[in-house]
Amino acid sequence: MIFRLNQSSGIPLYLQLIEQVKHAVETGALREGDQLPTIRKVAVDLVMNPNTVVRAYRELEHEGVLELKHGSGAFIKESAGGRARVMRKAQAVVQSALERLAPLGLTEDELRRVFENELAQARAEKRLAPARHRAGGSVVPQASINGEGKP
Amino acid sequence: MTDFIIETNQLCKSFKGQTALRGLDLRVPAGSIFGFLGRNGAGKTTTIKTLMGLLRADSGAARVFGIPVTDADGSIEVRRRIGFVTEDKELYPYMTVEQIIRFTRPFFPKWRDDLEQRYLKMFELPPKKKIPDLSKGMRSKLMLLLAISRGAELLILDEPTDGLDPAATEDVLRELVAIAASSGTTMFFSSHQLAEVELIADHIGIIEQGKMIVTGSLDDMKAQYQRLQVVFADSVQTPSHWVDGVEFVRQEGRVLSILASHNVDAIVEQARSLPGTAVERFPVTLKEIFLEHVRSN
Amino acid sequence: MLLYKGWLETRLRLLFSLAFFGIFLIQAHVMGGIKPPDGAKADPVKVYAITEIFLVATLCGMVAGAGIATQPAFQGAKGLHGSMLFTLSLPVSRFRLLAVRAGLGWLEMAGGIAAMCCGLWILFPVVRAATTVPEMLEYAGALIACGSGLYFVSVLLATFLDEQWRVFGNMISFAALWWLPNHTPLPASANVFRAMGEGSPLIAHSMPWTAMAFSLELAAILFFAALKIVQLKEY
Repeated sequence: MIFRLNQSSGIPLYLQLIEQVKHAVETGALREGDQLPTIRKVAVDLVMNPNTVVRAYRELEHEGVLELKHGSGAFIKESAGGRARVMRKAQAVVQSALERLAPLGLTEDELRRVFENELAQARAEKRLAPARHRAGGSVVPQASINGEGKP
Repeated sequence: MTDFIIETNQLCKSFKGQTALRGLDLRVPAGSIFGFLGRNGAGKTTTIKTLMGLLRADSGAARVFGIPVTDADGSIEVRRRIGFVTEDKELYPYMTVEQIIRFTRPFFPKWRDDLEQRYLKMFELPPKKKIPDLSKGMRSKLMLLLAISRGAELLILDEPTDGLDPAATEDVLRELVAIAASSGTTMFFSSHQLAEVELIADHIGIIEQGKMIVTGSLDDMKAQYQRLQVVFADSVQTPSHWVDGVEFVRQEGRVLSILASHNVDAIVEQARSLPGTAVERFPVTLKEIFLEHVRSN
Repeated sequence: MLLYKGWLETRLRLLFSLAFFGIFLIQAHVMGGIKPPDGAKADPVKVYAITEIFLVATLCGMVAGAGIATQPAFQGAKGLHGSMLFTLSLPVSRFRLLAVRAGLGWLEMAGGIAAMCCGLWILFPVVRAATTVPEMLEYAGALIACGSGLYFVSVLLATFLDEQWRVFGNMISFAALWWLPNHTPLPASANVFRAMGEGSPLIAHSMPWTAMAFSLELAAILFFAALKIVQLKEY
């Protein structure tokens, strides 16, 4: 399993790791029942703090993406596939939106800016689903999700 | 309360009229990898020397493993459990690699022969070479070997990757992480390489002019600190009083750049309330947190 | 392990000291000696060799003692740098560090003197000076005893003086040791320098007991003082 982290991006490493595991699940690289590398292996391969890996794995367990079987390791949970299906639907929507934007002839950067602005607007107007992971103790964790999280 | 393997309280130290430490408070949790950051001359090495019992502080208290550094017998016991890498990486000029290993080994009952062999090979240290003939990078690696092979519970490293090329740096960091993962050894290291610190540290402390100005869990810090870019349509209008959480504000043309340490949503609201603004949020790197804090002092 | 380190550290210096002595012996032979003082027993060559040697022995006593501090001092000040940092970070008390270094240095001084006396004993016949084994042993003993006081002066100074001041400290102390016996209630024969030179068994007719006793007492007191000072700096 190849994970790649960018420590200069400003996004906490444990969040990056969480996102990458989820992404792997969504694209099917990691399937239900697959075993993730041990905490030690990830820490050493990526040269990152083992406590950070622990935090990411625990968070993923809390969100129901994986389960930690004491003594044997971390395994992708059966129900993680559900979220992947939702993501694939979303992907289809974005794909059709891009097709419809094509005639406007926007560059990639312009497209990205448009999307980011809409995202920021939606966030400000609280139209987005709340983040599902705990940040630094200041956000209240959501009830356990089994892949079909609703706002 | 978590176990603090290193703890200082209002540590003060001056040399010939120059104050190196003015009331330093430091807390290093056991089992953590703690990155100690600061500009040159901010007091990092003085702090480390005080912890090792090499310097006597003028006032304040410091404890390692719960033992005060001023306790003479305790200090010897503490040094038996610590692996130390000095800043200038100086060792005995009349010894070879082999000889200094042979010299150091008997002082530490928990010496790990397996680690010694492992690092001799990994760092490619020629056993019969005289120490002054080694490059600075090799001396760094030798000191690391001597520090890690002790089987210490705590590693105190002053610029451990100084003089190392990127490949060697990677090797060293990987080894440190592997040791932390397998034996829970606490690591306290000072470094100028923020990228490295960002990678392997879970706690950091920034020292400036002898005082600790920021300290805490790195993940928490990066999650809570954010940069806000406030773009004004016409002229910049700063409110008379920013809400809580605004650490530093800088103006560049029609843009206000704000570094916020918490309470970001409220700050965004306040910024939006100003006439003709667009507000954007960005995550913050350790480098930005560091530079903003030391620049303004 | 500290002995091992000390040996590796100082063996080169010891070698040089011995070589130094050798040079003087050769010089003595070449120059044919100096007229001995009245009433003395020795012949010119011996006298020459001795006066030179006592000078060198004094210097070496200084150097050996100061050699304890070729590494920055045992002070806990900002003068702390280099490999001394590594040494002090080891789990060993400063007391033990000084004791071993000073002790080893003294042994080397004694050994050096003994070796030099052997050299003298072998070479004197070559330059047609006569000497006996007992005489040589007396000489060696006297030198070692008198040198000890000087050596430990250097040791003590090293515990609290910065590197650049040590040489001055040594010079002043030695001058004091030369001057004191002649101007204070101390017996004139306590002058250790004279005891190593003109008063030595090779020239005079007896062992300079006073000087030896004085020196050894001084050595003990100073060694003890140095250890105490270092202990105070201990953490």
